[in-house]
Amino acid sequence: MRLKLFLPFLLLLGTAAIAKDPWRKTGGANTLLSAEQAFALMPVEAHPGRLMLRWQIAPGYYLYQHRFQLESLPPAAPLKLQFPPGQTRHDEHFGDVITHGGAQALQLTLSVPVNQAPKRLRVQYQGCAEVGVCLPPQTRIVDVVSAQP
Amino acid sequence: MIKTLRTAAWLAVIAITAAYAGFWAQHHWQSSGRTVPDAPILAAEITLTGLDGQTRKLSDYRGKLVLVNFWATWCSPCVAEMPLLMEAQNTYGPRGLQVLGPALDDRASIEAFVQKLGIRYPVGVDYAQADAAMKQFANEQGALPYSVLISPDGEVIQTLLGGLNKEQLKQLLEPQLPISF
Repeated sequence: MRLKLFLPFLLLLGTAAIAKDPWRKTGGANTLLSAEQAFALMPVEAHPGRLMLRWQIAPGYYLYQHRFQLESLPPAAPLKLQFPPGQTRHDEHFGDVITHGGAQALQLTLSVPVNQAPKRLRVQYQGCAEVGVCLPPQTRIVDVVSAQP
Repeated sequence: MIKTLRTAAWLAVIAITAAYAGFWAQHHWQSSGRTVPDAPILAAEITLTGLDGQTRKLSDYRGKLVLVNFWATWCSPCVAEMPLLMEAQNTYGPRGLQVLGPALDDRASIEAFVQKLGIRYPVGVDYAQADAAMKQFANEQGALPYSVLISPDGEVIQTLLGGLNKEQLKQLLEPQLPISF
């Protein structure tokens, strides 16, 4: 009988201990990843007629689609990225935004004229963690490598 | 039959209790990336260049409870909490609170946002200044929003990573301020 009385309280303690802790999802406040770790940009590869840009996005983090910017160096014709389907989030201040994350590799394609692919790019992107903090915008200057045959 | 009903009732009580505990725990832990120094740490001197062009130092506010809030317009949780920070400044300013808002952003975006929300506490418009200040307060990743609560004696009381809601702000500030009569 006494056990039955205490059982809810025991479960309360146990559940509180294992309840969803958003900081635990990203390894805790003290182990929040840096932007470089959360959004790892892979080498940019040149394929015939297109460039491939890939990011490995850590679990619990996401990138904003509208924060991607790409520029060839030296500057040339504007570059237009093609995005895969993302997740639409409604933000109280930014409205509906598309994000990419979910512990997956994000692959963006850029169509370029054959033999006119830029050799160097300025890539900008920015994202946040699901726990409710945002990481600073990133700017990377990357050299384009030829894809392995 | 009665035994089955009794078992079902107990299971329902347990399920409701567990759900409440989970909700409470999530609410308590959310936005609670808090760090309290093990020993007193004197806050580093930081500089804030405002929209008015004036340069202020943290030590200019010695004698006040200072909440330094690092933010940016590209940071949604930052944007969400700033009206609450303005409200806190209005409410607790007479009791000795001073909010400061160094921004990691461009001046035009900062100015437009400050005007839109009617932010009246000093904000900083120098990105490099804000970035350097934030790193002095141990936020190497540059994640936002990031707040640092500093005592009237200039010691760091607490650092917080993540946004604060109204209740959390009240719980953070009230115990540190003189009682109002």
